[in-house]
Amino acid sequence: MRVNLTALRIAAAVEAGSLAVLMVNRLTVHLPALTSATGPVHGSAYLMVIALVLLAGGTPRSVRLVALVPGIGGYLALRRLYRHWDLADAGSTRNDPRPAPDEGLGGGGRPIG
Amino acid sequence: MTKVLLSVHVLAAIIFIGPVTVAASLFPRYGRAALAGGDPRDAAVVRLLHRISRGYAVLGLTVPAFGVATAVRLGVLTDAWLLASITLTVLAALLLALVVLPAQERVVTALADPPVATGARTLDGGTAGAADGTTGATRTDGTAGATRTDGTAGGAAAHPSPVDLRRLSAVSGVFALLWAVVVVLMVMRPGSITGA
Repeated sequence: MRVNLTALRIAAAVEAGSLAVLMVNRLTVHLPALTSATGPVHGSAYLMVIALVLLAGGTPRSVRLVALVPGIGGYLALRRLYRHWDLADAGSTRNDPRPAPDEGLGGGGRPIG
Repeated sequence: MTKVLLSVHVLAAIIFIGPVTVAASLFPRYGRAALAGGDPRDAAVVRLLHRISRGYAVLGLTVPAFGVATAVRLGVLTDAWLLASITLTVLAALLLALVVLPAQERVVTALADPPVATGARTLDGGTAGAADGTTGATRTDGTAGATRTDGTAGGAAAHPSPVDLRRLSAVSGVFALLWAVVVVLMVMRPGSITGA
């Protein structure tokens, strides 16, 4: 399966963004309602990042492990994926190194490796 | 806030788990048809069913996330019916991720490979065999006599079936059954005074 880049980018953004909201809320106004609402959103995004990276099949182990890091795991995984692709392209004869346009859920993205 | 969390949990379950159940249940039938090679639209249907199964399965992760949040606020996280429900949910998720989705993907990949025409003559006069490197189906005689567990007759553009579609059908059914049991547990809540 190929990595769905759009989905991973969105999940990574929500993961980091919701954590930021939670932290700012905690450190400032501390509205319990905001914590209750944002907490599960952050949890869902974290799980989705892990699932997207694992379901992609063929991702290097380092990418999978780094996705487990809470809060920023999504962005760390994306960074590693881009670096992995750049290294792969440097040693290959592929003509277009940039990922194909995304098709949405379950669709587009780069083949791994 | 608890009401909001519970509503989101139920809504997410209906909107995200429902499609996975339907798509996974339809997949074996269309997979069989597409592999037999009759109608080229079947392959497109198979790909769509897999995309739905996979995409909505990922979105379905919101269901337990909001469920646990609700349970924490209700104070029922240690209740027997909920622990049983969580166990069954984890089981269903593992079945989906480790059995159903990979099997679906193998079928989709097999369809992407060039089909093997049954009994077609190759340029050197022999009959078409596994020379095109499709998935490792067992061939004993070089003709398209791959191990078929789906019982179809090979069409003109048939692929050998890379997975046991009847087993996939059964496992997809077990997945549906597991979360159906979870729903009943959550409605009835045996052992709790709050059950329906």
